[in-house]
Amino acid sequence: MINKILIGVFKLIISLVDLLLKPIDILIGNFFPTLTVGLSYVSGFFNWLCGLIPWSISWFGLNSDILTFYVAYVTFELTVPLLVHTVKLCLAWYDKLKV
Amino acid sequence: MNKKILLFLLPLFFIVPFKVNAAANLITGGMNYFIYNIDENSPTKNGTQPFAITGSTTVYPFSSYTNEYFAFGYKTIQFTTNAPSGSKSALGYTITTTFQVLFDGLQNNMGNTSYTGWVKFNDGMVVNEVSSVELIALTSGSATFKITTTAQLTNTTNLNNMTISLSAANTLGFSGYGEVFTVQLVLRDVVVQYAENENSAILNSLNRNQQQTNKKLDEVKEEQKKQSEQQKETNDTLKDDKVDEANSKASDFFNNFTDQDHGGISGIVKAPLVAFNAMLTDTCTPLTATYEGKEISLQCGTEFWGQLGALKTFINLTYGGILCYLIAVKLFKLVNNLKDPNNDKVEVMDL
Repeated sequence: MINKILIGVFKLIISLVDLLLKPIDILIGNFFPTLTVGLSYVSGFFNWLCGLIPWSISWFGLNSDILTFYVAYVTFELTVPLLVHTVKLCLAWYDKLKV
Repeated sequence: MNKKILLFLLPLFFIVPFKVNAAANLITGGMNYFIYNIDENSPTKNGTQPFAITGSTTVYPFSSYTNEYFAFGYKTIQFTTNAPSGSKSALGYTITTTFQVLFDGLQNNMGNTSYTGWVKFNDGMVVNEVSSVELIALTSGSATFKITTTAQLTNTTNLNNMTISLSAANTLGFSGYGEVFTVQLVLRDVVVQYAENENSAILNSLNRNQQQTNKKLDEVKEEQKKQSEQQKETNDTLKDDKVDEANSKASDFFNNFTDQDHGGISGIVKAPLVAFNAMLTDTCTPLTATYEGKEISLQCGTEFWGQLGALKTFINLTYGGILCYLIAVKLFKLVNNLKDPNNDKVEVMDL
């Protein structure tokens, strides 16, 4: 269950990042086509590294539940503090405005 | 003076007619000319209509020597042909032939003479000097010349009565005194080459070039027309002040977006996310590489861990326990930090 939720969250974030960055990619592609080629090579290298992750994990012998737990922790660490601090910031603004 | 000349010429009127040997294909002739018939239907090849006059005639010099020079008068060999018909309409032709001068037992002195003026060519309309008369062989008893002439016709219906006139009246020099000798003119290997095919080829080539030029001009015009239409369309767009479709056209900008494209900056930025996603979703596939023509494969560790049985469970518990402990510690710290109202530090991921 947690695994499915995490997968959905990641796919959603990836799609949003795509949506945000695609215009920039198109602009670079139109005005700096050779730069796009270079960036594509870098991106391709990262994708190749990401393709090695399952193979590496298989040799570490990590259980999938442990991996899910670790990924869930990372997700929590990167999202919940940001959310909490945003709420804190809003409250601080509210306090200042109230005064 | 005139009497002397007449007396000088008188013997010729008696001698010359008896010394003429007509050619085999002689049709008619006279004292100073022969008429040969050229068959217009003779075999043709590549625009060439060859025929030959293989007869010969012997001319007795009708002038006695003067200052060691003999001279003989005009000798006309006339041959007739009809203008080629159909596609072989003659626009020009080239005639090549040879003739031979034979003489009896006298030394000759012909090597340094220009012979072009000897030969006149009459194609029925214009009398031309031939292009060249070349001495191609010289022996003690004969001299052989090659005649070449080329003419361009403007009237294709009059290619009859082509005439080659040989005249060596002034330039044929022989050394010797007082001996009567025979000069034999042999006109042989006459080849008339009509240039109609060549000219037709030239005309066809010109036509082809013209067609190609016209085709390219049409292409240029078509391209100009396209560019004009595009320019007109652009101008119309610039002048169009309607903004009704602006929203839909602007939204078309995102039509080709996909979340499967990992190119450019987005691919780099998404790399950590993709890596985490790969940890959750992807299954292991063996790594393959080619080295010196051999394919090398690195298998997944699943089989290795599968053979360990209980040991794998122990290692998993060890890994899991350590990892869970570390995560629990960090979570505790994180929650404590969140509870602290004075702490506004936001954790970020080290890329």
